[in-house]
Amino acid sequence: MHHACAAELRAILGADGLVEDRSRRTAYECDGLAFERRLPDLVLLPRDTPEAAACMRVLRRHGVPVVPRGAGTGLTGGATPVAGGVVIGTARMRRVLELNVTDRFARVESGLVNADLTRACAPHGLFYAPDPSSQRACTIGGNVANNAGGPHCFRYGNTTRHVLGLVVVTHDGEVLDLSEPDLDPLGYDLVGLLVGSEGMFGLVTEVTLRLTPSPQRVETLLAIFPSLDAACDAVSDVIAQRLEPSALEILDKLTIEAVEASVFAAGYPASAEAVLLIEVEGSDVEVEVNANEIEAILAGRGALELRRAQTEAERARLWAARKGAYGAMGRVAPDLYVTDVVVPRTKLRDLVHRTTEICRERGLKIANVFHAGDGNLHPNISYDRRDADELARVLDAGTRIMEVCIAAGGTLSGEHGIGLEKQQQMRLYFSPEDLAAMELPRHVFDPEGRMNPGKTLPIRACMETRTKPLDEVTR
Amino acid sequence: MTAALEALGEVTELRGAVRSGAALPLVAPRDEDALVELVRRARGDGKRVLPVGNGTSLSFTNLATDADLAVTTRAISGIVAHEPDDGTITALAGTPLRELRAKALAGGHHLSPELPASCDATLGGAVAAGRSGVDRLRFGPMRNQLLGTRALLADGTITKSGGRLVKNVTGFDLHRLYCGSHGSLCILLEASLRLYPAPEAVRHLVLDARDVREALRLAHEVRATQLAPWILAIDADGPDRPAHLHLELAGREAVVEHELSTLPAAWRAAQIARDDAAREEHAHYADGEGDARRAAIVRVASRPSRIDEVWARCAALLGAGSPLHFVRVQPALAMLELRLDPNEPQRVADLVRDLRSGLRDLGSRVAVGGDARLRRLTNCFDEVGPSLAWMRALRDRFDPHGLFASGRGAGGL
Repeated sequence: MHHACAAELRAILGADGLVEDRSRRTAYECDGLAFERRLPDLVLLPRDTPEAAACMRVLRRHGVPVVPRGAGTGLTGGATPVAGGVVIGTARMRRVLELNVTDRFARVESGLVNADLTRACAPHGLFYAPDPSSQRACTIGGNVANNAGGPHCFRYGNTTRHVLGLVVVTHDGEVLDLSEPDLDPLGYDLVGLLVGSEGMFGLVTEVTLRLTPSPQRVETLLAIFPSLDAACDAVSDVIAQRLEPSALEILDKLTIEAVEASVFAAGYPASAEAVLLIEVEGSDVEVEVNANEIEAILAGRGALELRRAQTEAERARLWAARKGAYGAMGRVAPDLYVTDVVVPRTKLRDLVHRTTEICRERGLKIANVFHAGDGNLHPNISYDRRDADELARVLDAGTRIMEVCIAAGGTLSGEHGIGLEKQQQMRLYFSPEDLAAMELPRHVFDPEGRMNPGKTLPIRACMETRTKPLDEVTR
Repeated sequence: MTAALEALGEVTELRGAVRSGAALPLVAPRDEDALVELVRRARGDGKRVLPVGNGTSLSFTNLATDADLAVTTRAISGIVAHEPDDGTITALAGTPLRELRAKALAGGHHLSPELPASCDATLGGAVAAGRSGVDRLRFGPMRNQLLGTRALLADGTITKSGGRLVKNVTGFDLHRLYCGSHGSLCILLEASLRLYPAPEAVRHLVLDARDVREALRLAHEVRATQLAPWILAIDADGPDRPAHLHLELAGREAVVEHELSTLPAAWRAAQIARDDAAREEHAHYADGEGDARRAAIVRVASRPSRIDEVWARCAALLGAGSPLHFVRVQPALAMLELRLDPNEPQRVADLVRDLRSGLRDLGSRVAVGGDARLRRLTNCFDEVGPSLAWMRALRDRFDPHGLFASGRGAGGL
């Protein structure tokens, strides 16, 4: 990076706001997609929107690519600086700017950790509904970039349904203030367009979020199944019966074994082929009515055992085990490739079966832990990235899983986004015309192609930034 | 020209849609191919096209600044996919929402947005208008129900955004951009919506109050509970007239009965309609939704914490002898709707001007709908602000040659 540019940025941010040292910059060379890495030229850590805007103006003048980054917990390479340039981290922007209890919204800086928002509003009987597994680390800004989900999005919907407003620093350093929580957008729904745009339309610095009243009662059910198929069928039945739990999660045998051998152990029986974790919430009567009907369905599908968490501590343990499953998989192999696809909920059993076969055919270890209620599969493949052959098989399996799911009426991502990982596979789901239409807003918000270049949209020969497709990385 | 248009579909006339007052030829292409051909010819001839559904939301938009012909997708109709066990429905743009709603109900689902039974809105028109229903309190706005679209762009290409699944973050959400864009970016061809379980039991309660102010106090008590009603709204004929507070609870039988028992004490005096009777009350309530073809409608949106103050200022501005016929306040949504005499457009326009200036410090938005006379006198929307430049840039990028008529949306979009 040009010394003059770095000096201008240093003048804005101070020495603490710049990461120049090479060894410290390595922490920013990738996100959760660990096999694609590139060292950023510089990492910027602005303290607020004006500082971020000032930096963006300098970067524009010098033509430097910009990669926005939250906590780096993303799983698709969305925060990897494949084209070099700077990473702008939001780690120093973590304030809750406004908590409006009466109108049930919060205005926060984008670096706020997801779980910290619920912690801040819980004393007022409110919570923030989207709850990714990484919620103790991931940031609201990252959630916005990926339109993140989580187990309870089955009832409450992904991030986009909870974002009421944004403040965005655009490619040229303009501050676009869309933070007022209006009932309906006045003019075009820019907020709706910006959520899920993976940092390619600007740097989100502030977010206005809808808060949800905490339920009067929550009941957590655990059903133990003799087969993964039976657990999937039970979920399809619950959906078909129009029942409305708040979460429906499946963990398979390998996941259970990994979790039970880890610090997240919650008493899932190691003999089970699959467990179904269900949450029901509402008034006492609502919880009882729904839980009883769901339990009848589970029993009808051959559940070996049904449990209800007896205490808040037990409930917390069951969920910590579910959300810690990815971490626990570290016991199986050094690396984990978390696939994220969505399938019609009527085809859950067949597609879980098929994705498992795809991995087994390639000699790969697969564990399933997923948002069954949404049809959002996460076939997790354990591997060692130092083994080039194994990595190639992992990527091949990932592509095949996407192909199979799309052929069955599914889609590429339910909550992780596209990033680098699925960029080329976008062609499986979208036509060239569809992709060309997505270029239209991109050219408006980023005419120079500097905002998180090389992500989401498949690379075409004429485009300004080139990255290698992932399958070439391994060669 | 008419003969050429008739070869593509039925041609009628659309009045009251453009500023000049001219009647436009309204073409209903018989299928997607005919629509594509129509757009191709219009582009080649340098004609400007005004897309409409069945025109039920036109009265809530500004008069277009210029258009040579209008095109409706109402003949491009039909349910493409209904997956009751997956809770989704996909239909062509011209499909009446009423038909979709019946189909969803037959599968045990509720379709949102719920528009009045008498409303002829098409799916495409409702999406393009970003139209929400009387069930908004429970299910949110139209944009929350929209899973994906197929759309015809100005360059003649047909493109997909989103999909048909309840969870999907693949690609940019262009369908969110199209929702509420009033046909200024594309012509919608198809849309997919998520469905919700149809309620097993319904209770519709009406509680009488001295006036809107007292009804607001009672409504705030309900909002402070754990209840998630389908409807919480106040109807009245004027600021100092008796008010009726509507509360609708719906869901599982046992749950709804329990919820009734938890209502604040004042509700012991309420009239309670159950199930079939409640559904009748519901239909009556829904049919009362403001129709800007029959009245001048002013809608004020604010925040729940400010609704009392908003109402107080509205009441003061209305004053004695105002052209107000009816008011509906939805406190939990912070939305207020005034229905006014359509034959006094100048007084309504003056009121809109006064409301916009008098409520500005409360961050309120004031929208207005009515006949062409009224819409010539006032802008249907508030001013957009600095983000308008980005919206215009988007519009220019999607439609660089100005094929789609402009001026209907906020900011002249």
